[in-house]
Amino acid sequence: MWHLFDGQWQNPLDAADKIVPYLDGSNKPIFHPLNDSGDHVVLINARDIALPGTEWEKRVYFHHTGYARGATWTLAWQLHEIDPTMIMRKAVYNKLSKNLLRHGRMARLHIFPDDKVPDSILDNISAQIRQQRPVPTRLDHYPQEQVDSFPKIFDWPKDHIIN
Amino acid sequence: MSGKTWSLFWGSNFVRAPLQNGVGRYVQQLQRITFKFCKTHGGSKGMRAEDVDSGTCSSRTFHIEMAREYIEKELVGFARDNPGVVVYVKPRRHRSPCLKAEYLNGGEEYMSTQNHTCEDVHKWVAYLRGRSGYPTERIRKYQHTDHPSIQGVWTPWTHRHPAINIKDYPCEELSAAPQTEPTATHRLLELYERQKQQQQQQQQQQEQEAAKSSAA
Amino acid sequence: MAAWRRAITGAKHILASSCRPTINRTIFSSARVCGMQSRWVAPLYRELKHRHTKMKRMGLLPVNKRSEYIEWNYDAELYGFGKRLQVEFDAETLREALTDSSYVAQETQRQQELGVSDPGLTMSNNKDLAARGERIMSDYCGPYLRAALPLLPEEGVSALVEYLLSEDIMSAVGYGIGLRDLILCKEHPPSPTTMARCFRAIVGALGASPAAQCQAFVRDFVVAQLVGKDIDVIWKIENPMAVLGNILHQSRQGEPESRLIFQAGQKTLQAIYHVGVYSDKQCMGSGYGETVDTAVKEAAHDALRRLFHITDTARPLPFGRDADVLPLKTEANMSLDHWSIDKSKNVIMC
Repeated sequence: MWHLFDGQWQNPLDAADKIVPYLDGSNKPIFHPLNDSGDHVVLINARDIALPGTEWEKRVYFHHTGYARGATWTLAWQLHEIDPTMIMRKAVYNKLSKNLLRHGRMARLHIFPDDKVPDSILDNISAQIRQQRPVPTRLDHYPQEQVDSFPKIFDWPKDHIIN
Repeated sequence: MSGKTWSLFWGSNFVRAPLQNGVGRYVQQLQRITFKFCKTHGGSKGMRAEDVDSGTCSSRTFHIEMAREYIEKELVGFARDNPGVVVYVKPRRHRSPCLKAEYLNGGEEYMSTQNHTCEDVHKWVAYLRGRSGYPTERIRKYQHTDHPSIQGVWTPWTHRHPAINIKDYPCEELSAAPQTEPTATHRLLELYERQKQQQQQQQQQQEQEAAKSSAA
Repeated sequence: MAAWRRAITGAKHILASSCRPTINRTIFSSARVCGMQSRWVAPLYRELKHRHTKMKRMGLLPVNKRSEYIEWNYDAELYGFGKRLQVEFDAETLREALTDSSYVAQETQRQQELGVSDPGLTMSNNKDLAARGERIMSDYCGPYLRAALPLLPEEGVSALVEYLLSEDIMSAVGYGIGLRDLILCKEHPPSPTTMARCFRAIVGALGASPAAQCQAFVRDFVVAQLVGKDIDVIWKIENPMAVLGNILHQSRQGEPESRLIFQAGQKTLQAIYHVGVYSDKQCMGSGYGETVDTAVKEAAHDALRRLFHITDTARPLPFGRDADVLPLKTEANMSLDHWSIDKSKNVIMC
């Protein structure tokens, strides 16, 4: 079964918590690690994920090539610029159980930086995973009639001079 | 146990009965049992009892004098209790005693009863009596049913609302995070609605009073 | 002692040293484990065993008849046979049932070869008894199945009876009862055809016993082979959608229309389609499939299964006391062409 998850405004680490049971198959009563009972998850808007607090500046991703002087420490915002899907991918990878089934389960996770998903994948989707963090509507995305009908809460006093 | 200890090379199988035995009538699967023993050797004493006073037994039989007793004491009773089992008694000189059981489905069990007491032979015979003829295997599950599901097997859509099948994905309705508390916007709108209702009620009351006073 | 050692006579003098009681293992981790006193015979034994398994695979090994052993008493075996099945057999009829025509022919030929000019053999073969037995079984199986599955169409009942009386089932039951060693026939081991005929003859031999005993025997050994089996696997309906349409037309209900309930992974190899078959907006059944057509067919099958009450959750076939009480039904069930839901409501399900 194919699930869709919208990553907009979502914390990638909390989202990974939610996604991993679908990749494992833990949400099913027929689950068994040897059963290969995992599902596919398509993650869209990976570019719009939201790390909490100051993590964009402070979270560091370490990588070593194995060769001498091959250590790199990349900040989250730098990594996101290079590859917007990388942070989400690493979050899910580190949350999956650390066994040989991990790569197979990761292969079933399809991450897209934005809304553009190929039709061959979009046609497979039959359910959506709920987000954890509510996405507020942008003020300029509200329909005009709603804006007009909203009660006026405040107005300037009559003798106030707006400069 | 026909003398085997468990090894990884044993097969495994589910619980089964040959030819649905037991659904209609129960048929004892033991077809025939052969008691092979030596007439004189001490190892077969428990199977075929000897009169100790006759002095025909060899000198080293003093602690293994019980195996030959079975044939003299208990065999006829066993044959009488199990009329469906054909019992063969085969004396073989200078060979160790054994039991050979053959079953209806072609299975065979061999059990050496060398130096066994009469009670031991009795127990092994009782064990062989109840076997089905299938080889000793690890049982994968101790239950079998022809109706594994009553309410229906689980599908990924068992406890899901069928509306998810007709939505176009991505679907905002299904994706939205659950709101546990009303937002400030909602609360303002509610307040506004309540205020409007109160104003309407006041207006109606005023109109009624005005109508009454004009009538009066 | 392992059979492969006994089979090779040349190795007897080596065998003497390993005559001690041994553990019956076929996999040896070391030669000492199988009781070998000298380790240097291990390669010999390994080669002998290899040859034995090869000959067994090619079918060149002689299979011994149980009746050729010293410990064999035919009268005792026949007595035990009857007692084991909890059935009283007439001794003469039983022997006749177990004698195959090939055996009679073989004996006649042997007597002629020995010089007996007029072989007056009194033994008769089991052909008549086999025919009688087949009649007894079909006379019971049909009415029993009709009574136990009153909503199943007549074509289904006859398909089930045909399956039960087929050679495979008859020979399987014959082997399972223990006729392999008792039957007198030319070939060894007896072929399934011979075995099936012999089992039918055994049932025929029961003809003299009271009808209730005979019926109980057929029920416990033949009909019991249906337990755990799917009826729609034995009785395959081609084009179930057309059959369902016909039934609904007979019942004056709406045409069957198939609707997609859910689908998953359309563009993948593991696509699933769940299709439901509806008539007048009422769900008749549903089915799963890898393609829509398979799912529609499966849904029609499911609808038919629900109509005929042969689902997985249906009542099991009655045995024992429930079956003794069951009134046998000789008149035919509804045929598939005339099957309708109104008529099925008139059928009493007990």
